Amino acid sequence: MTVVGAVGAYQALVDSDVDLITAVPDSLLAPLHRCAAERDDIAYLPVCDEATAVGIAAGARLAGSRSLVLMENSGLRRACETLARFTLSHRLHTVLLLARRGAFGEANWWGLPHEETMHPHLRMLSVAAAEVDSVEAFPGLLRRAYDTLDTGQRTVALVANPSFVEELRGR
Amino acid sequence: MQTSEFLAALLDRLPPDSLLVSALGRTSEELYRLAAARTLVTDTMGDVAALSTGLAIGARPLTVAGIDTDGSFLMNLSVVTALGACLPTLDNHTLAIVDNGLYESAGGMPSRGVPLDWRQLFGAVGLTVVTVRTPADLPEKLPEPGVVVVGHVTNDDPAPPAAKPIDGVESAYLIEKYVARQRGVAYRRPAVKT
Repeated sequence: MTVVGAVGAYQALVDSDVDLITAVPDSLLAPLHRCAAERDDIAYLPVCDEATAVGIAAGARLAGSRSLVLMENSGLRRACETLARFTLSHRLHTVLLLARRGAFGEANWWGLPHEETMHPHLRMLSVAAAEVDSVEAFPGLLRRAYDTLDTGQRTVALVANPSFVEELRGR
Repeated sequence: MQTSEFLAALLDRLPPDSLLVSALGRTSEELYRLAAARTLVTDTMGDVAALSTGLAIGARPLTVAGIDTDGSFLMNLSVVTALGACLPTLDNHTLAIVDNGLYESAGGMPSRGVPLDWRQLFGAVGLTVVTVRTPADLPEKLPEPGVVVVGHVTNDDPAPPAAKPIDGVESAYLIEKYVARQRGVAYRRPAVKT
C-alpha cells in the first residue's frame, strides 16, 4: 500500500519526465520505492549496491535518458569510488535523491555517521546539492536539478530532509 | 587467442554502428585502435557492466557492448543480480569479458587465487555464458539477450603503452554526441543563455 505523500512525490517524478529509477532500497524512502515498484510510468530497477545504481543511471543519462538514483546518504560512501571516477574523470553525471539519515534528532546510533560523512563526500565530489523539505517543493527542485544536470558539468543531489520523509509516509 | 584477435572477431559479430564501452588497459587501447569514434574509454574498474547496461537502456535500439576485463568485472560482483534482471530482455546489449587471468596493467599479478567458473557465476542469475577460446567459438551474430561472452586470452607481448589521444571527459562528450546522432535526437543543450 502506498500513501498520499509518496504518490505526490512519484507524480512529481513522472511530471519531470524521469524515465528510469535505479534504486537501493532504504527505510526512509521506502514509501517512494514501493510506489515506484507498483507503477509503470517510470522504469524502476532495484539493485544491490549504490555503485551499480550510479553506474546504470549514469550510462542511461549519457544516452539521453532522464535517470534518477534513489538511495540513502550512506550510499555515497559505498559508491564513492564510482562517483569519483565518473564525476571527476569522465563527466558522467546523474541525479541522486538521498535519504538524509542522521539528521538532527536521529534516534539511531548507527545513523549519525551518515550525516557526518555526507557533507564532505558531496563537497569532494563537486556534487551540486539542495535539500528537499516538502512534497510541494519537490517538483521545482527536480526541475532545477535536471537544469543543472543538463549543463553536463555536475552530478546533482537532492537531500530528502526528515520533513519530506514524514510526508512520504503520510504523516 | 590474443586480446586483439578476440576483440576483432567480437566486433565482427556486432552491428557495425555498435557503441562500445571499454575497460581500461590493453582492451581500451585495442578497442580505440579498432573503433575510436564509437568507443567510450573508461578508467573505472568494476563499473563497465553497469555503465553499458544503462547506456543500452537509454540508447535503444542502438546496440551497446560492454567490454570488460576479468579484473575489472570482479571488482563489483554486486552488479551480477542487476545483470540477471536486465540482460534477458535487453536485446540491444552484449556483455563481453576479456579474461587473461591477470591484472596486466597493474603489474601482471593474478586476478584471483582460485579457479573461477564463469558459467556458474552468471548461471546463478539466469544468464548463459559463451566461452570463447578461439574466434570461431563466438556466436555468428551478437547481441543475444541473456548471453555473456567470456573470451579467454593469452598475450605474449608486453602491455601496450597508453597511446590514445583522448581522456575520459572528451570520450564521454564524443560518445554522448555519437548516441544522439545515431538515435536522431537533439544533443543536450548545456546552456540556455548566450
